[in-house]
Amino acid sequence: MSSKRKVLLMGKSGSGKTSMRSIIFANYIARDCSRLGPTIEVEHAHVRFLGNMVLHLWDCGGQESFMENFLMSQKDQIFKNVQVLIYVFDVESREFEKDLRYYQSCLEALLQNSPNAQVFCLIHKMDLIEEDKRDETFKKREADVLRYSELAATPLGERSNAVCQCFKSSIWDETLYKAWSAIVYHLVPNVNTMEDKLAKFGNVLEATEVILFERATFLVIAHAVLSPHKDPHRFEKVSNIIKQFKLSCLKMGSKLDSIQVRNSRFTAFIDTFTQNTYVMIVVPDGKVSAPMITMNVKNARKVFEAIETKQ
Amino acid sequence: MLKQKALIDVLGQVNTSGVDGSWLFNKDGLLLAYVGSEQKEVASNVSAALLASVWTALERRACDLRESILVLEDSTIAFTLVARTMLLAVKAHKNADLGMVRAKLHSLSTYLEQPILSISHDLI
Amino acid sequence: MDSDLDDDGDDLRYGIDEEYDYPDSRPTVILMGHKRSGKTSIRKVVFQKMSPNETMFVESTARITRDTICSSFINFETIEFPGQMCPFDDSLDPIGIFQKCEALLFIIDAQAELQEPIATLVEYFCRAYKINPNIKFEVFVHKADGLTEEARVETKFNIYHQVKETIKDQIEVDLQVTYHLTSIYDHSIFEAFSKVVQNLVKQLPTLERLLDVFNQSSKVTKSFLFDILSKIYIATDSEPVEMNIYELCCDMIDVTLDLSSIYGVGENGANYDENSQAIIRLKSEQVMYLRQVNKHLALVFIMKEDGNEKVGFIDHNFGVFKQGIEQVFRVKNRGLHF
Repeated sequence: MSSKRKVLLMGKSGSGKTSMRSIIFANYIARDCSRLGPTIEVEHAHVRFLGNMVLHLWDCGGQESFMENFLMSQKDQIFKNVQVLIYVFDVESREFEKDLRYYQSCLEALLQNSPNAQVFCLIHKMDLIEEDKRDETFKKREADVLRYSELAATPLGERSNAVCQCFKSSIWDETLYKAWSAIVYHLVPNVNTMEDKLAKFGNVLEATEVILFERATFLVIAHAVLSPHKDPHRFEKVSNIIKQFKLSCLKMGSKLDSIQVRNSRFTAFIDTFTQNTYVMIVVPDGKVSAPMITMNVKNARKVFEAIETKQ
Repeated sequence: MLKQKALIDVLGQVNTSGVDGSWLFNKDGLLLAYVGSEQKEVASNVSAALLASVWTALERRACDLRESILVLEDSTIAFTLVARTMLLAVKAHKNADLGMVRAKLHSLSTYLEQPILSISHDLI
Repeated sequence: MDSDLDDDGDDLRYGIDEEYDYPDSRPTVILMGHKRSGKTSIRKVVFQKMSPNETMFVESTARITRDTICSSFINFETIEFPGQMCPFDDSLDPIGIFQKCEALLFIIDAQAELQEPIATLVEYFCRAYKINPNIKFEVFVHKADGLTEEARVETKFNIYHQVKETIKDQIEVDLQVTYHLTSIYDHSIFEAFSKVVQNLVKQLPTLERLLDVFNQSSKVTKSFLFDILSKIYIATDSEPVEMNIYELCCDMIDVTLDLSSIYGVGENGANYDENSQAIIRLKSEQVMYLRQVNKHLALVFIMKEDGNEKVGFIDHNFGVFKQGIEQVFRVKNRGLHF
């Protein structure tokens, strides 16, 4: 199985494609992104994900002249063999209709050339909307996007493949991690095997949940929830929290090894796990012995390393 | 794999007739489990660190150290090596029968030897 | 993520707070400045954990508002005055306010016009001085992030000179004023606040000595006593402060509280309690520890990991340190009752 995945990143100029790519894959912090210039034509980025999987990101410049080219002369080159299309909308765009029409054209081209590709739409820059209006604005935009997705898919009779998932995102908070975790979740093989093992591991540790993060990006790639938790957004929050701290360590010229946080009600352990992952274990006991957990983590490491190499 | 609850159950079984505390910790003094009358978690941590230091100091003097007994003002602590890397300690009231204390220590260490060996072996 | 620490009405009481927590014994700081100088943003970022980019939505304060923050070790009061109102108007009880005040912060927007704010600053400082000559006067030259390194120094120097001269002319006193360059987009605002507050903590030398002793006995390289809510450090050991270590310690507090608010919130909504602690290992063989000291304070320290230091001993030494801190604050509070 080829481990190289072609991922198209499209959307109108200034919608934030390069910024989010830089934060997720290149350790940028949100504030530094203002220094990024516009993308000319296509910027190729190869990012190693989970060790042996390579994401080939095609960051497609969004200026109209480029868009026209992508849809005309470079159509085959761009839209062939695509595994994932990520289309980014600027939530505050003044010409949303026009953005939607471009999106429709891109989607049509994609469905002709790579009928099995997955499509994700991000309604981006949500931070510019006032908090109490975010949900409402997102729902409206999402409905528009879905409507245009159908318009693109219907003539081909291939509707099932164009069903797209919409996420709201902002580089300033954890929504970015939620969106990207959902995207990579589709790309990681053996997720089910891994989650089974995680659940067994969690049982031995009497944990409430065990989460696996990709090492470089800190995106969640697998999780086992052994007892329910009321906050559905906690994974991306944790991704965001730890990624920020990782960057602070880098700034000091150091690297993060492990984190242990507790109070009277819980203990959370975050530790380097396999070559490509960090693991987080949450135990509902503020007094659980840390060396005991560390020992068990070391033991489990081999099992998960075996699953990983099988890929 | 080592289960915290199971370990605590086993350690707790020796806490009868004069024995009032049992620890399992590694040579670095990191506590894996403690069962006993010392209420504060901090205190059992500190004891484990102290006992580990004593062990390392004795080991430097005597090769092949197997077991050691400390007689304190109001209590006796017996501790021994389990599975080459861990230390097991039991603390008893000063009036407790020393033979009984040692017997408990040894049967506990024999019981724990295999399971701990299997997981700590994996580590190397 | 909002911290739940604002809720001060809970019944969770332990440590030195139990009998000795009197708001009067904590430092009182007053914040003033012109419209749009960034007072509200500073308050939100430092005391309410708002992320700096969100402060764009902060609306300007239209009327006189007084805000007291009581869930922090620091007794912090912001009084915002719109341009035309004067804080020394009799109806506002200036004497009552400034007699209690220990430090007066004046915020100047470094990117805006300076003459008018400087005039206001001088007027307020002089009048406050007449009411209470013991006030520590501090100026935050704020929004410094937008200026070049050169412009920052120059702006600070200009303000310093003008203020010094005018105050001398007006009240014939060489008023001690401290200046800080600040921005909410980095740690400078926390650092500046830390200096302001340390100026007010009367037990500072004792605390420093305690921290030094703790460091020596546990082979710790650097330690800070933090006000957990605001990430202001009220004391540190006598070693010089390296900015990046301080920043990492701040970030560690964030990690600890953020993870605790996801997984460890009790019925009363508190995420920080008597068992709160964190250990972070870095690959550079450094270990960072965070330990709860009392309801408002945490000790954060960093040490080399060489395998010789047993966690149990650190626990013990920390226990001794914590007792020491309790005694320090107890003495002070008792003193107030005579």
